[in-house]
Amino acid sequence: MLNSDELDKKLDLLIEGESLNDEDSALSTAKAIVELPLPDIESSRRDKIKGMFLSEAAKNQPTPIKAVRSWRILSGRRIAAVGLAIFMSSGATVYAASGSMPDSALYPIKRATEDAALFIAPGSFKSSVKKKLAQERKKEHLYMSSKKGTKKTKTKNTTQEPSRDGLNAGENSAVPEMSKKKIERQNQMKEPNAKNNSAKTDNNKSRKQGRRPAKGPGTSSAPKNHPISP
Amino acid sequence: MKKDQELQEIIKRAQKGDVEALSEIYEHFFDRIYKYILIRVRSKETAEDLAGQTFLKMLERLADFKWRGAGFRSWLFRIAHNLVIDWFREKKVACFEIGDFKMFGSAEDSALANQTLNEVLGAFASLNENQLHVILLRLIGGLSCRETAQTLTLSEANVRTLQHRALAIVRKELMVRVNA
Repeated sequence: MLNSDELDKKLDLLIEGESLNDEDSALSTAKAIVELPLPDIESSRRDKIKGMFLSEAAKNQPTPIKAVRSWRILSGRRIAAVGLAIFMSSGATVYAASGSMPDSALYPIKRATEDAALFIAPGSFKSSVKKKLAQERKKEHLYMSSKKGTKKTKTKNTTQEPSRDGLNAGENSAVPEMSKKKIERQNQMKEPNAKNNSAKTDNNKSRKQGRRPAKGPGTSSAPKNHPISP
Repeated sequence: MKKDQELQEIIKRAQKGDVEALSEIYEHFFDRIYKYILIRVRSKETAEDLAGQTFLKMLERLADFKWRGAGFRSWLFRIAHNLVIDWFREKKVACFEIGDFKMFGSAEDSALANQTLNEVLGAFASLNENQLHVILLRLIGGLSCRETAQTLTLSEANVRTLQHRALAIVRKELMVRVNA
């Protein structure tokens, strides 16, 4: 009689198809079970099940694998391109931002880069980085204060300009041609009166001083043989 | 029976979606899976249905399969074993109980084969559940002691003891039947 370990080894041989000439009762029983006349499945049924299995396999498995592969290739290229673009643009942006001032849109990028530089810098270099940053802040301060100054003067100029324009409307090149002509006409109309007025004031002055009033253009028009005239 | 290394390569190909490799797996395992299920359920139609379901389940889970310990054979038989247990659960019958046996339906089938089969399967009635599972997986399914242990989540020593006792019981039962 075989023990359980010996029987196990013999059973392995039996399963592999070896013919055993052992007269052990357990082994001969096992042989009867292995050779049990079990009915085989009908070949048509077997093929039908196989067909269903393989069609299911073809339906589900190869397509996703192909799709994943093509997606991977595409994405690899795309990711590389996008990464390169981001890298280049970020480099360019950071470079552009390095000279920006607080009024610039790129200024936050500059500050972020500075913070990163300060964070990355090793302990011994931190102080020099801080010094640089302080200089940078100073520069920015000067720039901003100078800009404020120019702004103030600019605002003053802008307040004065309209009055000047109003006075010398005729000189302003921005004044349209028609309005220029109008102004010229008005000036022409005003000019004789203005001259008369000035002559009147001169006569009054000379009267006060006891002198004869100077002959003006208005006086010249008086007839010489007038009874009153000397 | 294919060696482990050969089988491993086929499985790898099948996991990549190689239909030819899947066909090889089917050809290699179908008959044994079918016969294992047939003895358990004792109905050709049900055995065909459950064997087909076993391979479809295998297809679903093949991507997740990793070769560990006893490998693919025990993994596949475990699928079949669980499907049979589920089927018995639905029928509300204990999976080691023997009911009506209708394997050879047609008149053409050999009377002798029917008789032998009925005697052996009748002798199985005296086995407990674990003994029956061990005998069927080991001698009908063709699994090794290690693979059987892995399928039934038992120790190898336990499987050896169970198969030894089970064969002794079947032998005794057959002797009784022959003498009767």
